[in-house]
Amino acid sequence: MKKINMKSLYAVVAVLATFVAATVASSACFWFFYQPEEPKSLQEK
Amino acid sequence: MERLASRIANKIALELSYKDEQKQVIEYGLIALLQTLFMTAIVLLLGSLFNIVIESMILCFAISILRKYSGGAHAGSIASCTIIGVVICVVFGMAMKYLGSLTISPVLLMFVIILVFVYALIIALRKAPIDSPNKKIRSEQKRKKMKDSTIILLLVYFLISMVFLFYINRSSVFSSALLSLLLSVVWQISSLTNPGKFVLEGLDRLVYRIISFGRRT
Repeated sequence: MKKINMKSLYAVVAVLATFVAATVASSACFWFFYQPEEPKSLQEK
Repeated sequence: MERLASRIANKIALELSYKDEQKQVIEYGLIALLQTLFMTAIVLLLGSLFNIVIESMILCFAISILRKYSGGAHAGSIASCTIIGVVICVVFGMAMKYLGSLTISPVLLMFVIILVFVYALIIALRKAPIDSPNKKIRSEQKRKKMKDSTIILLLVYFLISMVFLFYINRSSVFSSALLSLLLSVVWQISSLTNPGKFVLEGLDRLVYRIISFGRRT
């Protein structure tokens, strides 16, 4: 039971993080002055 | 923060059997999420401590939102970025709180608003967006879209400034909020110019030395 709950939590975090990554991908930079290297799959072709 | 994001992303990828590409996207999103939450929380905390919540939050959000479209000079590390960002929001917030408590003529403020936004529009039209080596803006179409968004956002900030100016006689909060918004625009737009880049790089080097010195002792 505990395992299933943890998996659901990981899935929620994964969806949230992917959503944030996709949102950030359309902007010129992150929050304030830092910009880590963008993953290739998010880069515009 | 990056290490924490990497650990969480590794755990998620392992548990949900994700490919490396998906893991990288999750890690990237987590860094953005953690940095935004962490920095906003520190600014909010210090803002409450020094009684400058409104001023520091206006600076934090106005600079960050404008930066998303206009880009600008970057710090070398996430630690440096967070420290510089927090110090700017708090120190500028304190200064604007003090200036807002003084009696400034609405006519003079109107003049300053016009001056700030004319300067911002000229720089934005000439320079925006400035990309970073870690995130290049490759298509001309996206570049144009971001420049247009910068101009639209500046016009929105101008309208908000007008609202603050309209209510300025009701409370000194409107005065310090207006000054904070104007300083956010000046600071962020200046980071698109060479002198602004020079200042930010100097601050970045200074913070890097302080962090390195702190690690050695």
